[in-house]
Amino acid sequence: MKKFWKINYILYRNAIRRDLKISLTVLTGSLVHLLDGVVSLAIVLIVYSKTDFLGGWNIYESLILIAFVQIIVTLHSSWTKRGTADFTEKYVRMGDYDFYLTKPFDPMLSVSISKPRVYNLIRLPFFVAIFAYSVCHLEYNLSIINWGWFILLFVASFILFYAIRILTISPAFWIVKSHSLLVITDRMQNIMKYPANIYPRFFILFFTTLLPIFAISYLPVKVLLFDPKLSYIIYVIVLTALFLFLARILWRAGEKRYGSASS
Amino acid sequence: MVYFKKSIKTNLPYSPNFFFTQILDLVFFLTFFYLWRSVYEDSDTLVISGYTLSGIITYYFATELVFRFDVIGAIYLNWDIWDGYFTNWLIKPIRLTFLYILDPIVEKTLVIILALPTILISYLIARNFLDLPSLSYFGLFLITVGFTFMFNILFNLMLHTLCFKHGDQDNNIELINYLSWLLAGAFFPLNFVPGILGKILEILPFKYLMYFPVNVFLGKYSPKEIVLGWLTMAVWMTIFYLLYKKIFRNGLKYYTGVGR
Repeated sequence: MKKFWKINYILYRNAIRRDLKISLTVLTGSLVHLLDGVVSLAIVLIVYSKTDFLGGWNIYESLILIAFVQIIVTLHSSWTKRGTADFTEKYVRMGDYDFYLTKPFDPMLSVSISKPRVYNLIRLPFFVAIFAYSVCHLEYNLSIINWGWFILLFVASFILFYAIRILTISPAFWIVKSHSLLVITDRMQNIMKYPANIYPRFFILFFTTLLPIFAISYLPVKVLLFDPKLSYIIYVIVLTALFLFLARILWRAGEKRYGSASS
Repeated sequence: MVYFKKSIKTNLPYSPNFFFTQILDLVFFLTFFYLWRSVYEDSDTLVISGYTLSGIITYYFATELVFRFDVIGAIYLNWDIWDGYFTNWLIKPIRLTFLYILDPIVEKTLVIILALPTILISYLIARNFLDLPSLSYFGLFLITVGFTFMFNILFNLMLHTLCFKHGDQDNNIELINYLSWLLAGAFFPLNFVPGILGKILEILPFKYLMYFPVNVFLGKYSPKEIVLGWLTMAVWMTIFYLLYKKIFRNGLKYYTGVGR
């Protein structure tokens, strides 16, 4: 564990050094990320200018949900997104995965954290502020118990998002290169941003079990805002463990398929 | 024609990738479909800013059609200049502008064909809410989309030529395109934006990228207004083309062919 954090520290330090050399590129990259967040927020504000409730949630509850999703996504986009993207697009096709296999560190984690993007964190303070602002404007107070469970589920959601990302990109071992694999988790973020009960039942069922993105967003926020049902909490934790296990199995199976040949 | 056929062949191995991406893009339509359905049901309102529920669902359906013509990632001028590959084209006896216009046309032809099942799925899901246009308005819509496509290509080519003097423009192009789609009404109709800001957005040329063609689909403009829109787009396209030509000619002086 100590080794993991030490490697992360070095990678982030190097990323900052690299980014400082290309400050203009970094600035425009950061603006794209910020704009993406602003657009999500603008849609919610426009929606609530036309209605008081969305799927039974008021504006502050929805803002908490959207901010929570953006915080999870931002942390991933800074930490694991580029590494996993390069894996899907290049490492298998060009044989670069060899480099990670030779390291004395878990290759799946090593690939994931290999390309941190510090500037992607620009959205983080913005959405933390929106989260805090919305919590302050709720008409009810959140208990310590709600917060406690929520923090636990925040960690679980973060890991579950990562596990789903690994599960969706691992087929790259077999199909060598596919940009569309990367798009899966990106597109799913659009669904996660709104309260699940605006969607039809089959949609909720699918996205709570087979591709459990509502377990990343909707359930943890529901536990924070409303009566924290123990069934939700156990479900999210068990699902996280299960998906992480499946991600590991699929990655290992993929590694056996990896031929190290380049094109 | 030779280049067109060759490009189709080059892109064909990537067609499963294109196809799967089109399927995933369905998420945008579905999210907006369920989002706005919920808004209209929760607010007990029949008309919001001039749009009925059918109107707004049709708006996003048409948005999905127009989005297929998004040229970002289908024009390679910036990358060619930046890595020096542009030299290969310079020494050939072909018109470069024509070539760079042809690239997105080829790619989008393939994308449109591969997107047909996705469009059909969208239609089947939302068919009870769609206000489809008459045949004549659908024809006007197709012509407008043609204009929009060229408008978008010339606008992006202009941005790509900045690479000659200012280096890699990838991030800038992405940023400007994202901003353009926002200002074009790709995420919500422009008249949903309240106050003076909404009025400014209607004056800016970005609306021709999305809001204008989509409202042609919805039959919100008279034929006279549509023709006026086409003329305005033609003026903007001429401006973009002239700027592109000027920056291109000046830019060539800075081109070293070394690459990065």
